[in-house]
Amino acid sequence: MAPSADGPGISPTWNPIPVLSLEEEQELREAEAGYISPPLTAAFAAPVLDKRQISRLSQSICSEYPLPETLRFLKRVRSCTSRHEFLLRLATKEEEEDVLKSGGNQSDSAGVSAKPQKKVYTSDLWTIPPLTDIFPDKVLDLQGLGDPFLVYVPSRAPRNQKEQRLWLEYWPSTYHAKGSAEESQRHVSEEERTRIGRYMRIALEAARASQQRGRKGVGAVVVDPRNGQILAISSDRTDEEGGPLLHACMVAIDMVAQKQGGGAYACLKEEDGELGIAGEKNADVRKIQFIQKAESGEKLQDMESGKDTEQSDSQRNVADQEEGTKRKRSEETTEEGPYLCTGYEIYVTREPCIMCAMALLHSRIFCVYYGSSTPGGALGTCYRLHCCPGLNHRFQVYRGVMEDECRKLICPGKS
Amino acid sequence: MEPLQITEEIQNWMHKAFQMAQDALNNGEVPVGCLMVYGNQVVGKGRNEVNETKNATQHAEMVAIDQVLDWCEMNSKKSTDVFENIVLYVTVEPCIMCAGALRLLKIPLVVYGCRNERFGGCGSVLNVSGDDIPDTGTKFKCIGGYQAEKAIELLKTFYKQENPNAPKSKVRKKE
Ligand SMILES: [Zn+2]
Ligand SMILES: [Zn+2]
Repeated sequence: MAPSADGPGISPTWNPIPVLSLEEEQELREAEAGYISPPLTAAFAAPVLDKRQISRLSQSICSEYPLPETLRFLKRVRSCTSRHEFLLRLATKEEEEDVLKSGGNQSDSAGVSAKPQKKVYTSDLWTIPPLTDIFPDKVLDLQGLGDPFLVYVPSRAPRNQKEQRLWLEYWPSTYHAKGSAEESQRHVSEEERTRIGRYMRIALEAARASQQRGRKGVGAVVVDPRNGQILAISSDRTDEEGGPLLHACMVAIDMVAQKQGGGAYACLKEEDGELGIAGEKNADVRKIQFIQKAESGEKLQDMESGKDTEQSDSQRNVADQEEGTKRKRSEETTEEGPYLCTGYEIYVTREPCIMCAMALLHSRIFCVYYGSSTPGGALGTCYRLHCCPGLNHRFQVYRGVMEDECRKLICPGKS
Repeated sequence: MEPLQITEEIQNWMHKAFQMAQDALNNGEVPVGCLMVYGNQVVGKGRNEVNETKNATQHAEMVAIDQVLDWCEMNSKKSTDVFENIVLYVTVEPCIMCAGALRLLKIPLVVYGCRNERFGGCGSVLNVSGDDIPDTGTKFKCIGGYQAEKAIELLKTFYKQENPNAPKSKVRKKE
């Protein structure tokens, strides 16, 4: 394990904070206040009359009528006190209305009340489509199932065990700790924090070097998290020789393009060694070593341990990487065009503006880590572009990464 | 979006923008035409160069902006003064990124054809042109909807012909 990213003897003063959508933030606040109930959607279920048929029914119904991708967390069978019940399929809005109109709010006697009102109901008042109407397209052997009824099931996966227990009141769900929003976004492990800090320090160093040359103190680093490779180290180039739109993110995107044989900005191509075009990997590694040494005053130790981690990671994940590369390549060549930041992370010292944020979205960035928030920022402050409902690509965003140091560079007077 | 007040001048420049879009289509490029007009002179024009540059930010507007910068240098003009007096004529509503760029450069007026439902930054997805955004240049005025059907038709033709054997229905960029 590498020493703390803040250097020896300094306790960490920052933590990456996930920037969520307003909706998610509201949900989290409710969860913290102890009030949680799942959003619900109407579905048809039926009692299982013959338990021996369950596995056969599961097989045929699940393959012919799979649940939508987003609802795969729902179990197909639940066991109630006296019997089992099978989740058949979702009900359409019209079907739901028909059922409610015909019978009001009710429940199968053995069922668990499911509507938020929690009214008890009996099944005989219901006009429920028969099983054959519920599965009209394909001929299924539905032997073993009783009369169907309407039930309300959670429409969002539980994000922790507490939610999973609460969801059970409505319908049982599976819960995977890995990949759940709360687990992956709220708690960044110490190891992950160290990794994030390592790259942000490189962005900070680029920002510092830029400032020393009389330019703006904003820096960015593009990283492929699958193998730890650094694809670009950039800084703001809105100076005379640069261009008015060459914010650090725009420069970084073009450097990645250059590395792949493209690139749009001549002034960046001419940029010389020091913090210019990231050359082949060795040059990158030397650069990181140089920057890290300069930054932390440590010897190679920090870097070496970092490198070891990356190497063993890459050995472990060779298959993953190949898979990832294959996937990436096919995305690049068959889809809308080259989105060369697919799967990449960017570390930038200040919150991107709306132009840069959308440029990162167009480039299909995977994750953005930034230091200080800015009043016009588009990833949390003025807009939350990464979770904007109308847009076709979403990505993760963390703010507050080495925030104080990042802010000092942008507004040297303030702390 | 301002109501349509189409002057003869607008008609003429938009006619040129549409010609560019048609040219692009004839050459197998994304049919979006874009002109930067300063005074009575075209100082920049562009088409999408995402594929050539492998840079997803190289939309027609960004390419045209670069041309304006070159023009300023060649004619010893201060680019900030020039941009503040430019009108952009473009056949499709600028995307969120381009709208941000136009703000940063303080371009005061944009005339466009059809809306950009997927990425539009002048009201369709976000209102970058009209929102209060600190430290992000100035708002700009938009005149949208000029020959919108024609602009849409060009795009449709392009996407139909581009990949007739596409395995599945593809979601595509507007620009
Ligand atoms: Zn920016
Ligand atoms: Zn654009």
